Amino acid sequence: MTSIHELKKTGMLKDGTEVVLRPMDKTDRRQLGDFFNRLPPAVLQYVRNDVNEPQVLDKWFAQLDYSKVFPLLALVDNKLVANASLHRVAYGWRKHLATIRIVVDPEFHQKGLGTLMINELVDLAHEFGVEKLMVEFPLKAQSALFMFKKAGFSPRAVIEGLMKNRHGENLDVVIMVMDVAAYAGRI
Amino acid sequence: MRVAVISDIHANIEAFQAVLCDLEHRADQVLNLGDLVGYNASPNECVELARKTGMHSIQGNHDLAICNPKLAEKFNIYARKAILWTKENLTRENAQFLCNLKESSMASCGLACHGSPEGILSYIELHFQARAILKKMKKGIWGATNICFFGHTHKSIIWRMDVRGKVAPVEIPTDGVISLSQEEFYLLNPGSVGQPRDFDPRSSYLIFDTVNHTVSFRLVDYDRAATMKKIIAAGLPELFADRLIHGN
Repeated sequence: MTSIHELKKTGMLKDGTEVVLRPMDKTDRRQLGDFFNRLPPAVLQYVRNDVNEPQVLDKWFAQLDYSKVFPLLALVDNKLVANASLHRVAYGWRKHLATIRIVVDPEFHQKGLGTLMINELVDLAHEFGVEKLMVEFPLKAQSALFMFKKAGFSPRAVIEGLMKNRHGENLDVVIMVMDVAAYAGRI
Repeated sequence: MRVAVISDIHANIEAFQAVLCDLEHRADQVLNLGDLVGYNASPNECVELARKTGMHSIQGNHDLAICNPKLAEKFNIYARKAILWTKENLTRENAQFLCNLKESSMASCGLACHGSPEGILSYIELHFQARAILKKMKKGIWGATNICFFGHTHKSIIWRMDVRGKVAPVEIPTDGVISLSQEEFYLLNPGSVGQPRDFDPRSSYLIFDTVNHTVSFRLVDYDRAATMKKIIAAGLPELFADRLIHGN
């Protein structure tokens, strides 16, 4: 059987940095904890779980199931610099749809890393038979909006005041969607 | 003349043999739309069988990746793993055969390509993609034909552009025969022999009757358990074996 570590590829960032993309596996527990712990609160404020809480990560690793959540890591010189994941539903009206979540180390912002990871997840989504991808985040996160647009997503809705930030202020949320088949396999 | 159109065999020798057996008395010629290798564990057997039968084959993107390492690097991490494994296990003669295949060709029954007439990597999966290709076919960009056979998506479908220019998928009757009009334009995908993705795990292919201008689709069962066992034994990702059960 293929070891999950054999499923990897290398990519190049805008500044020439070589990055390895591979699925997360059970041996990555400490590395992922260190990654989230070194990120500033501003980066983590829109993450859905309290990733600085060890039990949260323990649960993720205990329940690792690639058919439900496919976690992709980006490493530079063996250091984890980004974590992105493809979330699927096995049954029902959302079976054809998956969502993407991504956290990138601020040191690697504006270098094309997010786009590289999203493109890989789009190709994997196509491989897994997913037809549509959806992502939601605060409208004011303009760099995320630009990154997802570049990857082929288009904004379909803005819901005003739907979420709150860590200071309790209302946030407008943008929902972006893409047809996977329209972008898969582009090279 | 009856032409059997097959595609996306993907190193699945059990499926390939079952399909060849099924079409033996039903077709006079075989047209293979590419991707003889990738994903599954019998690349040499499949290439050798294609060579032995002398069928008309064109190149798929996985076939091309065998001779183009840069392309393999652009594949997703699962498909890339399969190509690297295939490259290691393929004989030089079989690799050369794949590298020498043409990307597309005008066959006696129509235009034949893997992804789309525009390129080996392109997909015709969504309505706007089918409409764009059919419009160009109508203009005669790829020669005077109203029929194009394509693969790559692993899903059987017929896209039709009627005389008004309206594009829509044609409903495929179970075990039925579909008549094609000489005034309309068609994109026909036979589905996949070795890795179906339209939620039916049986191998899919089509037979095109060039005299009566009719198409019929065939679904063929094969020894999936044997194929799955080989995938696991070869050390290829389990995902490739699992997806053969459900056809997705």
